[in-house]
Amino acid sequence: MFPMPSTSGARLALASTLLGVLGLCVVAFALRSGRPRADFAFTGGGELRSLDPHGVTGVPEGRVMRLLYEGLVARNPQTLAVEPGAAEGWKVNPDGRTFTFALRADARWSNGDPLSAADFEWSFRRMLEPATACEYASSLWLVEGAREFTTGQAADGTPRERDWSRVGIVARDERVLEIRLERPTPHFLPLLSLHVFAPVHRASLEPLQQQFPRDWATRWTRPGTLVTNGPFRLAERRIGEVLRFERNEHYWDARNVAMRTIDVLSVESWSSALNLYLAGELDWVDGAIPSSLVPELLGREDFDPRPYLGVYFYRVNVTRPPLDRREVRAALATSLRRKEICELVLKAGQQPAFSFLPPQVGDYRPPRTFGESPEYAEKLLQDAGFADAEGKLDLRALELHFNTSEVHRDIAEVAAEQWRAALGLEVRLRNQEWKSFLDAQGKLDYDLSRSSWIADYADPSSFLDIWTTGHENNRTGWSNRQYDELVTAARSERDPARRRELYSNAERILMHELPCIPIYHYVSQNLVDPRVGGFGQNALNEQSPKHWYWRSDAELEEVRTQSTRRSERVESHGPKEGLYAPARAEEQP
Amino acid sequence: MSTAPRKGDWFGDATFERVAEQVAGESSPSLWADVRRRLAARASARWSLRWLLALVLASLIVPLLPLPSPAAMALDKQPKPPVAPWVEPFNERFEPYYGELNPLDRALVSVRQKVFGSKQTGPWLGTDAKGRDTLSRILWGSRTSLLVALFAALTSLSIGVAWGAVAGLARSRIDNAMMRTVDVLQSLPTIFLVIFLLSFLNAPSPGGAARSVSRETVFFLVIGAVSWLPMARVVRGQVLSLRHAAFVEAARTQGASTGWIVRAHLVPNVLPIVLVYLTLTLPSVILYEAFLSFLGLGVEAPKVSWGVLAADGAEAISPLATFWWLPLGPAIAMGATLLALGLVGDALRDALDMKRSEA
Amino acid sequence: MRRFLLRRLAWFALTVWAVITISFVLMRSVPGGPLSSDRTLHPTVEAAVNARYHLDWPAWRQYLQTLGPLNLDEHGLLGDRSDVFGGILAFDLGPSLQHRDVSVNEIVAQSLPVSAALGVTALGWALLLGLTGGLVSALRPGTALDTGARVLSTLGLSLPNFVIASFLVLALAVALPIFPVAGWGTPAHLALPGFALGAPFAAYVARLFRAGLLETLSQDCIRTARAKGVPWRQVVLRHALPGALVPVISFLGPAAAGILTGSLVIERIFTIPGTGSHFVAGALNRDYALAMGVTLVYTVAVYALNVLVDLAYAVIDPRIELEKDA
Repeated sequence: MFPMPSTSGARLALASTLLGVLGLCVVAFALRSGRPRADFAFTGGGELRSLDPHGVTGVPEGRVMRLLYEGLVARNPQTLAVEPGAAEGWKVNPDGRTFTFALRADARWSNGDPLSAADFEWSFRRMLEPATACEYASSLWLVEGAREFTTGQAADGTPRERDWSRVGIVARDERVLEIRLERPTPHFLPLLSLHVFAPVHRASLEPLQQQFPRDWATRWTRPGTLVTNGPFRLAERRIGEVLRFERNEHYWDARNVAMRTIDVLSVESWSSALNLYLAGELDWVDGAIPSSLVPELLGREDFDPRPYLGVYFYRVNVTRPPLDRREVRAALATSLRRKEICELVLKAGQQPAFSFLPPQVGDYRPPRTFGESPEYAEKLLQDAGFADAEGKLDLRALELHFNTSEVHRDIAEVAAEQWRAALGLEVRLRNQEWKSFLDAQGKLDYDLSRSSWIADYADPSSFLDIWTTGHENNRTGWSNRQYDELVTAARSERDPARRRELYSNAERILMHELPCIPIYHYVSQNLVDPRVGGFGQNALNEQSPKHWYWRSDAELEEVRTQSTRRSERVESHGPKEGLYAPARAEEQP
Repeated sequence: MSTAPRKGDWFGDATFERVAEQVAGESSPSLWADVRRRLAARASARWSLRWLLALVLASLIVPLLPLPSPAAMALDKQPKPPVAPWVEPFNERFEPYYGELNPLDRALVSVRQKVFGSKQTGPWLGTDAKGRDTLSRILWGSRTSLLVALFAALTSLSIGVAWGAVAGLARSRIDNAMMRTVDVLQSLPTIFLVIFLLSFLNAPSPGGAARSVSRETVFFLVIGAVSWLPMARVVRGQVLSLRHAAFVEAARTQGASTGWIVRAHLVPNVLPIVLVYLTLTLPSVILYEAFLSFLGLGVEAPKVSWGVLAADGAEAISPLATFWWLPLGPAIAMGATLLALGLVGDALRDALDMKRSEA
Repeated sequence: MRRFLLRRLAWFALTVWAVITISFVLMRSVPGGPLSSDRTLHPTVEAAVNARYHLDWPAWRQYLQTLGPLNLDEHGLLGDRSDVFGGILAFDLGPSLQHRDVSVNEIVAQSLPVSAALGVTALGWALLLGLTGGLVSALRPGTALDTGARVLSTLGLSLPNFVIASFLVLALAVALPIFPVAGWGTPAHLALPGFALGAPFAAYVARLFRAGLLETLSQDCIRTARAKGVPWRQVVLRHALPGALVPVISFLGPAAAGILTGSLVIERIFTIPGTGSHFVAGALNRDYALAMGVTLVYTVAVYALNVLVDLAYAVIDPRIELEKDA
């Protein structure tokens, strides 16, 4: 049984040396040479879905799109007002339906090609083509003929040939683009600032699609191949690790862009992101901060939660008894103690929600429609016949679905406990992984299902459209004819006051019927280095990376003394001398 | 192999096969007395067994103990650090909310309420972010972890041993087919099975009236589905080597029946390895539960398990604020238990290793 | 030798086929599809995406497509179709359904070396700590040193690795900033995750090595060698060590497959761009192509390493026959 000692010992030594060397080679191969830290680094959560503006929907992807692309219009990072982007100006016809955009003469692609109106026309066409499979395609359907072009059907459902000439998007000349809408739509310009309306470079994409019909997508979005028109261009892409961007020197406003390089790191775990931020490896983190840590952060100058246009709510399946009864839904909505959830669970200043829309969406102020009263809820249920002879409430146990996440679990646990305490109602929690969760929600296979809605632009339509009958994002089985009529009328109403009133009436119906139980309105939770200047603190938590810069010690001191907020100073990891855009650096001594 | 609660090979079956080979050897009827003597002679094994016994006992009677409920919340000013038992031995704030309980536990809880009333222990190990008592959660959580371990033990013992024994005894073609099946199942990343079972079996029940399958059941199924595989290998290997062992051949030439050979030689010789192997399986199963909890696929609130506690605890380890009691309590409970299982396994292995003791 | 490898190859092909088939069936029978998202698609758009990824094909056809360039359509079984992916037989795993503009081949090519590097470091730690611990306790069996080494090595197996990793980060990256907290790029980034990943394996190695050493040291030839006056150190190093390593190697083979193809937990905590996270992400996102890709990688790794282990036996002990049984 025992081997010949000397030979086997030698073989063993040889074999293990070989394996060791092989191992070292693997390590050396996998470690890249030290890449210098970028001027600015932030995280977009996990790996992004795509760099194709027509292929993404998420918030992190939207942020990266703003590095790479620039649409016709942009939004001011502080006020969210619509500003010129690739177009230097626009004109709206008196009928409110036709928009004429004039492109900048100096607008260029990252390879130096001039950016033309035809590029935009082609990009919008690509967005509408069903083959592109753009999830946002329907948001462009307010353009004349656009819906027909995507679906290949007339309004009445009869098939029609796709014909681009019937769509109201025309490049009048090199620099003039005309867009004609179905009907006047006041929120068209804010909508147009979404990343999905960015132009894509036809000259590089089209040949690629012809040459590689099956895998053009994996060849296109690479450094060197991807041509974009935004303030930055893609320099490096390592899957699951980092996206490196460099300033696009062909960008028309490149002299006002401070950051020379930006890294977007892929960081899946929030505690790792926090550790990286505290170590100075990340300059901005935005995410689901574990609520136990929020009190520790609240006093710091680098954490300043602001109202954010999003609502956290529970969908109610109105097709399932007893939830088909309005009284039951109202009892559920009025027996929660939202203040407790906001102050004791979430802790970052989230606002209890008694309306679907947040307190301030542009000029709109939501009506307050219901309050909290466990007694009222109990009476509602008793009157509706959900009580036994002694007046004890008798409802079947309900199931509350939520997708796997600590904060959803925390809220669900507390909400279930509150319902139990107030109504004696048993609410069972059901934690589902994301896809199963969506599947169940889409098939109306739930009682109560956690949801949230984040506005794309600051307008009531961004919130209220989804509750119209048959909308893909309704997912509660709820339908109300009067509501549909109000929302449709409001969409094309051009008088702002009248429009607000229509939306307000619609929301009143929604909050009376309660196919959704609002819980709280979001706050943005940015952890950002105090030295970062030009950072957008706005209700959409939307960033405009071209405005970012590093403050010098002197400016940082000035900002700190001017700040009215009492907060603990934290050490900044940014450059002491600051980093300013070339144009501004020249102004300064 | 704790990290490897991942993918096919998280049981490190090769280990067990090696251990098994080492344990293999002739055994005599006096073996068990011998083993007992040797286990008792080793202090680490003695203490480990005591700890395990105490834990099992505690997890059985936990509803009777004057502990706070593991589900009752108090949201204000949480989490609270531990208060020493001599500072606040008891308080009167007991709230009898437990979530869903089985009838037996309900009965036990009501006995507890009669005996202790609203008296409950103070926050000796602190409270979590929702004001739930950590000590109580650790003890209640031990039930899930131990149940998962028990279930893994059962499937290993039933399916694993049977599969392995049949493969070992059967003709080579059947043997081959059975072992290739094991190969394939082991080459499949376990996480697929988990997600498949979680979403497939745990799909919402139509009408929402009653829940179809609970998370625990899914755990048991998943763990049952994979934990028997290495056991089957080990048992097969042992049976194969025994089949051709001199003393079995001798018995056969003397005209002993197969049944007799199985009873007299195979069973007593396979049993020791099976036992040793079990002490290696149980820790990996408990760690696997923790891994699933880390992914958020753990038991559903208000139920609790060590994995959920460890995952929550690990989340609470942060440079900003250290809620040290949140990771520490579960870590100690889990560490001590798995360590005890490991030490018992070691001792068992040494005790059964006849060859070495003669040397 | 050649026969051995050929037979293993045949079994390998069969196993891979079975794993592909099972994974295919499992993945497609789970509720939810690769396209479901919180913003529902318009039916026309959804149909277009489905067509782009051939999700509108019947399952059997998707299955053939996944297997290889077998397209049962007007172009014939093996006909050329430029808009279809090659399939597994053509080593083309297709585009990821979740990360729309990278192919699964690319994901594997970029992440596998990373996981492998981490795995090599972890194995290094495991061997260093495990062999030392095992040696110490085997040379002084029954002493306090032995007990201490065994308790220490079992500890690595007693805690979930995310707990170990979190403590390590807090202690050695935050409190004492010796190592980076997370990330990838320099050898320093490898130290902590390598240790956290290797610790449980170190525990196994220590146990096996101790047992193996004790067994070989008690064998007759060792006693003879000692009786002949060969120095103790030489006996251990040259005579006992190779035999005692056999169980370690047979454990490390399959274990290495797990380590080298990545660990989700460690990769997530240390934000390492390895393969580990794709196992869970592929399954959770219903990214059929990615899930199939990483499953294949794993199966191949398990098989290759098992063959390597068998070859390693031959290196250590020339008398072990490869023909015996795989």
